[in-house]
Amino acid sequence: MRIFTSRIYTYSLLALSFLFVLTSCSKDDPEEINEEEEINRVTLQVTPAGGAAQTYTWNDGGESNTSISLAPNTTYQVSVSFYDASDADDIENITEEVIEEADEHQVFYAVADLGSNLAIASGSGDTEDGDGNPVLLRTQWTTVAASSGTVRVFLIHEPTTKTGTSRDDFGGETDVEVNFTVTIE
Amino acid sequence: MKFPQPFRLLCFIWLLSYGEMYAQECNRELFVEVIDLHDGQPLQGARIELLESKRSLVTSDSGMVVFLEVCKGPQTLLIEHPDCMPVTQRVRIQKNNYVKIKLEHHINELQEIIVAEQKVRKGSPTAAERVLKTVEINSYQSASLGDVLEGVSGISNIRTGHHIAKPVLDGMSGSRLGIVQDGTRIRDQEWGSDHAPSIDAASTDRIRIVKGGAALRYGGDTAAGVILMERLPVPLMDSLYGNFSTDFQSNGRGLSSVGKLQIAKSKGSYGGFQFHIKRRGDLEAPGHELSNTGTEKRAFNLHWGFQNINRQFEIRYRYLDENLGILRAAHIGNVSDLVRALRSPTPLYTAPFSYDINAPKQSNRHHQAHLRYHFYDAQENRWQWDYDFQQNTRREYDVRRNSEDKRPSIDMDLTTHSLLGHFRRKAADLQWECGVAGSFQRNFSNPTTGVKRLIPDYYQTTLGGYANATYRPSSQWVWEAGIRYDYHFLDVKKYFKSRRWQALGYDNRFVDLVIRDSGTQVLIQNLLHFHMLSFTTGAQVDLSSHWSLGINYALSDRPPNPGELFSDGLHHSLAIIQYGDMELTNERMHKLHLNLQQRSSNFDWEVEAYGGYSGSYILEEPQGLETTTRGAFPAWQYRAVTARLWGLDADATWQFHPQIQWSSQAATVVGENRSDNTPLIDIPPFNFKQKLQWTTKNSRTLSLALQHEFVDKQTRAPELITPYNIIQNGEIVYGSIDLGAPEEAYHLFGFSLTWNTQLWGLQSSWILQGQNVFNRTHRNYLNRMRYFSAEMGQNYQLQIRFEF
Repeated sequence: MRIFTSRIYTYSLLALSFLFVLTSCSKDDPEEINEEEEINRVTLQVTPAGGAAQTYTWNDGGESNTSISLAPNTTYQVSVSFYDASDADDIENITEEVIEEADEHQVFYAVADLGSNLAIASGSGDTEDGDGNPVLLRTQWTTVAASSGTVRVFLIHEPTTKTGTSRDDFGGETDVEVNFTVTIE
Repeated sequence: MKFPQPFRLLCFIWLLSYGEMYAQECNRELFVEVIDLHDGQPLQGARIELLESKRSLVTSDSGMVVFLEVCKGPQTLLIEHPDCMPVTQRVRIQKNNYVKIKLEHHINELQEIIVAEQKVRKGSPTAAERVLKTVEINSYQSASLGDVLEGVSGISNIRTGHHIAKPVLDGMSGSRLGIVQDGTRIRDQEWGSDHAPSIDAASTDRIRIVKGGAALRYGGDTAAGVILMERLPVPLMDSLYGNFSTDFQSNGRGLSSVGKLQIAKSKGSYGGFQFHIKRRGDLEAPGHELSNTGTEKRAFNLHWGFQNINRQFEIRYRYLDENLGILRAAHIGNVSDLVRALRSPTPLYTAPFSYDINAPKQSNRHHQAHLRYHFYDAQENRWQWDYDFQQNTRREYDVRRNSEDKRPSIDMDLTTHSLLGHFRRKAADLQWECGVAGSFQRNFSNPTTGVKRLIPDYYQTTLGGYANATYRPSSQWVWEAGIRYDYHFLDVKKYFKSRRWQALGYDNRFVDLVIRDSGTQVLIQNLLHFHMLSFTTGAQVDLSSHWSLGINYALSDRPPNPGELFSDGLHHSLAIIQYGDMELTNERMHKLHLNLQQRSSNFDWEVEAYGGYSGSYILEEPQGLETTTRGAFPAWQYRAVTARLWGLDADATWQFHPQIQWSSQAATVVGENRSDNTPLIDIPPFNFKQKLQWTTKNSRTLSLALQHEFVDKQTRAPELITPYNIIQNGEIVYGSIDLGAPEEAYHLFGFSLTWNTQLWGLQSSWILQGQNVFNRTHRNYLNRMRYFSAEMGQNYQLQIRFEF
């Protein structure tokens, strides 16, 4: 057929094969990205007055140790920390970022099934934001009678208000929501 | 006038009909210009007879005649000139008539007539087609392409807020709906449901919608159809024309301007420039602001070309830069946040009105450079070559933990080179066309975002060829058959998290693909080959002068897109994790379209029925929960199912009084996932639109239109049950929400008042439009922001337009 002898046809075939050849050229491998926005480890360091500190860890996908044992009628200093542990050799402490940007962050603890046997309040050395509101990175936990339940730790980003008694009161978006079980015995 | 001999004499006749706005039968004007192509001079002394009305006129030294009061319908023109053989040509006087006739005269030889561009060539002679004309596009110029397209029955939009609108045709969108601008497919990361087409609707003169997979020239993968965005031909005469218009919108306090300038020379060179700038602030729903929903747009295009009746060369460059704000309240952390948002009647975050666009937002840029050459050879066959370059940069900004961090979370560059060759054989009854298409595409995800790539880096090469034949045994019948083959080669390098790689069992099955293992992440290279074979056939018959019936079958064959194959990431506004499946295969769909239309002097209607079936329909579905430090997330996975889609689109226009016209359109579609016996997600509910328009007598000075739109509740919505638990009053409360729950039906009312007048010697139009004038609160099932806010409330728009 006439079109197959056409010069234009030949040129187009050449051009198309050129495109095809392009793909077989060697290309560099894409760079590995370490997730920077991720918090995948949350720790609670629980210290009784005059006692030794105990650390509880919530690990995303890894082994966790989230069962906290407390004694009745005792006061504990609890310090919460957030980490990016994607790279075991380079664990990043996100807590520092939260302290730097205290105005945009708020920690909140929601307590379930423990009734009035566990009270959580701002502790010594807690960070305050620009308006003097405690961010609750360091808290004081006071226990009463034997019981068991859950403490859900929230890190809230850009809350609409920094005071409240339930998660709903704060608005904003949830950066962290993890459960720790608490047994008072 | 002298005609050089023995050169071939070409007489060029230009036919234009005015009066597309005229409703009456015999009030059209037919404008005929006769040009001698050889030296581009007007041809004096040509006698033109309108056979039906037995009227004739002779061209003056300007080469023109104007017939007044020409009736609607078919007309026959007889053109005679002492130096040309007499020629008869049938013209259909209709709306938007545009007929270009080339008359070729070999002295003492055979003569023939070529109808070079009769009206507009259809995307497929047998598939249902709708056209949006310049006038319709102009009145929506500041809107998105999706909004403009909603003027066509069967088209809805999947939205992310108001400005991000992704057209849905026959219940399908994204990669299943091809968008073609000036003859080439737009390559703009169309796989994302929150990715609106990177196109400025104001830069097009005419939009044609070819339903079904019949337009094989533009791809065999478009089961829904093809949207063809075209420009009107530039006249081959000395001319300078253009327009300028400005829009003001009350809702969002928006302002936009569009301008166009076109210069053409009778010697054949032409050039043009067009721009569009737009700014709009936070929109308002009834009773509250929609914070961070502003938008900004800058777009322009330039073109230059050379043409004569036989050939045309054109170079074009287009640029689009858009900033699209996404409702701030829609940026959420986890499912409990979504539950709180759903329980609240108004957005959980509102701020006073502002033009600022902050995160979350999308910032998209699209460059397109295009070279085209076409010519007609001695046998009047058409040859066309296109080279097209496109670069699409998509940046999506999420709210970051550190507010000082202004980096985008998604930063992707998609670069595409395409080369297309098209040949059309000229013939009276059996016409065929064929072509080849090749492209090379590279996707690059910028690693500096510090966020895992949603789509990996890849190179894609495609090669394809198609052939299509159209047979017209008589003036009543048209038969069509076409076939297309495509080959896609995808070379992907992707990082998997080691944990996920193992959980999927890929560490055993795809061990050969691994090229690096860093302990926490695995880099793989996957080479994927896809072969696609698509096919179409159909017929169209004019049952009488008023009735016509069309039938078209298309088998479309689509390779899974990169999103479906490789998505890997968190979607903030839906609180879901999306996963692709790299083992997906082609999606093949059979689709049958039937259309029936009746045209009469005062009542036109058209109805279309279609049905589609696919045994490998790719969709995205929830597949369990994943627990992360942010709490539990539903994970959504792409997979293939057996699906059926069928529906009806209908249009009607009734001119019940010379000055009053009623028009309406309705569409309904049903989508079924046969594998799971559930409805398909994101299928538009039944919708109906009607318009009553009054126009002043014998002129188009003033017109008033009242509009009504009804959108029903989607009764066939799949349930998307997402469990959650929250701590309330010292107790853990377990519950679940249905994210698939449909929204209530609604009615919206609007109006449009148009005043055309001469101002400062220029033709000007003043258009006042009102949308949702009763400020009704409503939510749209197809809007991903419906969990967080209601739709935009009332809006008034004033457009001032000058033509010159």
